[in-house]
Amino acid sequence: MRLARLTALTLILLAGCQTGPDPVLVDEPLDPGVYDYPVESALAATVVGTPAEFRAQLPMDYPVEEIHLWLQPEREVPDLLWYHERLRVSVVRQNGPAPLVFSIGGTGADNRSRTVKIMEAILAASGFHVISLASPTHPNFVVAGSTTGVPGRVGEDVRDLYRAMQAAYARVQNDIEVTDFYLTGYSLGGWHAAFLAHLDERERAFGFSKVLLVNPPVSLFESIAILDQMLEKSLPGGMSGVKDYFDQVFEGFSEIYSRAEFVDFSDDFLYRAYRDLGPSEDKLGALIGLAFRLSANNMAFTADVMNGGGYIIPQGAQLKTSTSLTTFFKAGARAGFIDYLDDFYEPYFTSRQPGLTHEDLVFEASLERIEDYLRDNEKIGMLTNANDIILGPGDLDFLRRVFGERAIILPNGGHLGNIEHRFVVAVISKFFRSQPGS
Amino acid sequence: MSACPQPISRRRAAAWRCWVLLFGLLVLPACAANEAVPRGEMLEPPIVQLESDDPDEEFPIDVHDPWEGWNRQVYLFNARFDQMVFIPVVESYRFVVPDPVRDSVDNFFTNIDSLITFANLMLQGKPMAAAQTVFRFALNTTLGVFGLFDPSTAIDVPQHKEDFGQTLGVWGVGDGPYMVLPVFGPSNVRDTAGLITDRVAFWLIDPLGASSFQSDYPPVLALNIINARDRVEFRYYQTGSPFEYDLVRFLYTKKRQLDIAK
Repeated sequence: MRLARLTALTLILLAGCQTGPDPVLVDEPLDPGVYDYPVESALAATVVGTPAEFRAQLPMDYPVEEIHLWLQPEREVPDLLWYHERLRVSVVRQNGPAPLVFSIGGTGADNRSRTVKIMEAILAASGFHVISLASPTHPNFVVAGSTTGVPGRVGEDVRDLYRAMQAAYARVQNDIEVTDFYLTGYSLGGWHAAFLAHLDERERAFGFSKVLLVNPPVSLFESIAILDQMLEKSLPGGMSGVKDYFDQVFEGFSEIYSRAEFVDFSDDFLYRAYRDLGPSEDKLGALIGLAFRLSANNMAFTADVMNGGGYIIPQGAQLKTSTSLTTFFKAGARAGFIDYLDDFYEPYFTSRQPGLTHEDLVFEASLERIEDYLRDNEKIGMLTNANDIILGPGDLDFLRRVFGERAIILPNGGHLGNIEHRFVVAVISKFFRSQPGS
Repeated sequence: MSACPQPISRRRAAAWRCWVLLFGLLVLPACAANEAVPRGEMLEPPIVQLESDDPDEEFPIDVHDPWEGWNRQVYLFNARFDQMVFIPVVESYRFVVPDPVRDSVDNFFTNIDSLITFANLMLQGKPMAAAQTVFRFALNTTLGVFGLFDPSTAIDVPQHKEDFGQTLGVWGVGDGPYMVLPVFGPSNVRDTAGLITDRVAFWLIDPLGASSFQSDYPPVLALNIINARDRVEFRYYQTGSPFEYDLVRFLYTKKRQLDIAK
């Protein structure tokens, strides 16, 4: 989801400038302050995030080690995806004993994605060891972490994540002193965290004593449908309108950029662009839809490569590192996540498991399936926003009902738009720092 | 600008040859044929239809890139070069050199390069911005001790960044085919011509001895290169997208359009 911002941030990176001011180290307890997140529109919040003046001061210069796990040596990685042979996992160690928090990224995120880094910074500043993992929907995980290479199915993905978490812990076990195991994830990663906690009750590799779900979807299929349709709904003509849309967006950017005060794209550029241009809800929706489409496209293409083609790539086509992939990009962008589920994912699993129906696949991918487990479990907390765009009708009530007092529901912020807000950062930090049961 | 015009020395002639060679290297790929999308005649067509039903459909991701096959190979080379050479060097540099010193190094080279910006602002007919650039240069060179410090930013003197590729763009020259330059990264024919012109002109004019200073002291040149990489946060394959080449090509093209319109 953060890809809308990734696109803009990549622009910043290409501009070659440093992003933002030097971060200030937090050595005092995070002050919750008041919740005064300023962007009311759910779509706008999702796109522009937290304006600088409302952000928590998070340290960004703590040491992070990246480890590379070779989980499937028997699996041949095509040349085209050589850089994904090993799963990249980030590790932050504290000096001395501390709890270890596993943090799972949202749709299309890896261990270095922006929101993953924000979660990592919050947890590191709160005094925990942190291991950050990619979402099973990220190409790196599809290639290096997935046993099927067909991402999206809860049972398989959660088992693959669990295996990767154990491998990562085994790698660092001797260097860190762990007093307790915690688990968190945002967006799709929050949904994974719920199922991971459930799996861990049986397998007991970790025995998590605190689990925080941040802006999770309830029903995966429902949330995907919302995001997938956002593009068609917001953009007349769907993909055919993308050219005009981009021209307009860049014209707006250009107008702001050409004012003398803007030397380059800074971290607050998007917010100021939003404030100055006042884009319509449709424009914002289209951007979110496009970002989601891009994630889905990356995932589906990678899955197709790993399974010999047939979905986007003609079966048996030899893709070399010099082969143009633009045609596949465009074809994949015209299709959506739902097409992937209908035409690739569902046939893949129903052909291997006789009797499995579409309804089964939809039901197993909803938190409703583990509702009883989530309801009775004091150690699991949930943080979301009342106007989170990925929630369908009734989902918010479900979360309220299931988590009761353990649900923190903020009035605005869209989907993760407020994740850097002082208050939200303090809530996450406090959840893990408070004594169990208090 | 240049204090004392000198005859082109042997060293500079050698540098010239180097540039000509580099230019040849860059233009050679014109001969390399583009890798076509695999023909589907003998292959089962995929489930997702590859061609659009809408003949008028225009995708912003499409950038004129007739040398794509070669460019993709250079992109791969750059990624590996980055991984094996550039990033380890930059990381050691960051580890060894404290932040304020690295900032000073960057200030120093930025200050020197502002002469290129100045020349291009003049060529683009932007005297106000050119004056600001000269003022910056003067202030940073004197009060800022040869550009090691940046007092201009402290007093909010606007900073500009212009190159000859942008100047050509302002004059109405189109992008030309997209190119990925070895080590330098994304470019196009216009910007490559601009890059070479800027560098050769800088070398020949040698304003205030800034250029010969670097060639007399190779470590300074090395520092310039390391600093340049240090200041770009981009890491290959960090997007994780199998379409990163396409995305970078698109964003580079758009970014340059914005720079030229600015």
